[in-house]
Amino acid sequence: MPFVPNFTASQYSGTPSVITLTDTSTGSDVTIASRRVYLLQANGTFLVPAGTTTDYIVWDLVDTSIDLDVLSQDSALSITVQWMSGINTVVTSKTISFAFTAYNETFYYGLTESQVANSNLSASVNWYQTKLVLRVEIDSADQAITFASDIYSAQAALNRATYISTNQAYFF
Amino acid sequence: MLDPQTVVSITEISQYLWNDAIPKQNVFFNGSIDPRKSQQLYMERKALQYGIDQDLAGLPGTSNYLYALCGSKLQLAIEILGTGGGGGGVIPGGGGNFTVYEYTTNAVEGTFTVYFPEAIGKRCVNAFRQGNNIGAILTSGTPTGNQVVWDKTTGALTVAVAFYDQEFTRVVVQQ
Repeated sequence: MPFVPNFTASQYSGTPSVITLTDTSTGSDVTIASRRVYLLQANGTFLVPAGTTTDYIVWDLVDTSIDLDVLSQDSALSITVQWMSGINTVVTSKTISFAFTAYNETFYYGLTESQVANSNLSASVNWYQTKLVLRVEIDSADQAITFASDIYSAQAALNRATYISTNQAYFF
Repeated sequence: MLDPQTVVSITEISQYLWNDAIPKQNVFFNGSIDPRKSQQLYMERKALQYGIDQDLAGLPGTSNYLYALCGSKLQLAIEILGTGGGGGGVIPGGGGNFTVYEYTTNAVEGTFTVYFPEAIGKRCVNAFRQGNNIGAILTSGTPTGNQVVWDKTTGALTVAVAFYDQEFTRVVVQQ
């Protein structure tokens, strides 16, 4: 059965700085000897964990998934996984774009929780409109990725959302 | 308490119902009490969905909050979702799409009823007979004039004026 490369990425609310990649490839290829990950940011640079000196991250073939503690805010990334031969040539690769939104989504959920405790909050125009803008920015990032794999537009939207959540004292 | 995922579904339906109702309120009643209701339902539903996906704390409270936020559209939304214990059904109206089938037969002279066994259990949305116009389609009683009676339990179409020999008859039923 031929090797069909694929992978997924996930992020959890409790550990928003960590993204988890899972290899979901099918089939096999005896020439594959190693695996690498590139995390391309919207500014053209590669994101790597602290202490990594290369642009890529080595992902051992024996590990089905890998946790990468790389994010300090919501980010749109174009993630490339390369499956390499024994002499480090690329046998095959797969690139997928993602919007990692756990920081802002968790903050957004917290706003709703505050409304549960005090439903009058949503009657405040400031509260309501800023929350609506935050929702729109998160959705915009998701849609930029879903419809166009556009990490630049997605990152711009996430930056606007992050501005709201990190300056919440002025908005809510 | 309903489970949060069901509340998400109810809210999605309520959001659409409010979105439909608010413009009508604006036109016919000179404004709406809460013109941002559907927006708000969307905003809070997205939060609840994220909470469910991530199994966050406070889900019951958020879920109940959203449930209450559905307001006057709540009961209808529950009925549409099909989890209500009672209440009316939803009949597809303007803008709705549903599949229909048509069945035909030729009647026997002098009789008042034709049968469409393939249409048993279906709702008759239209009927036609070659020798007469058809008016109201009743579901019980005795037809008069150009009325007909559709009995979905037997697939029988009964007319008030007897059929002529081999009269072509057709029903259109909802699937």
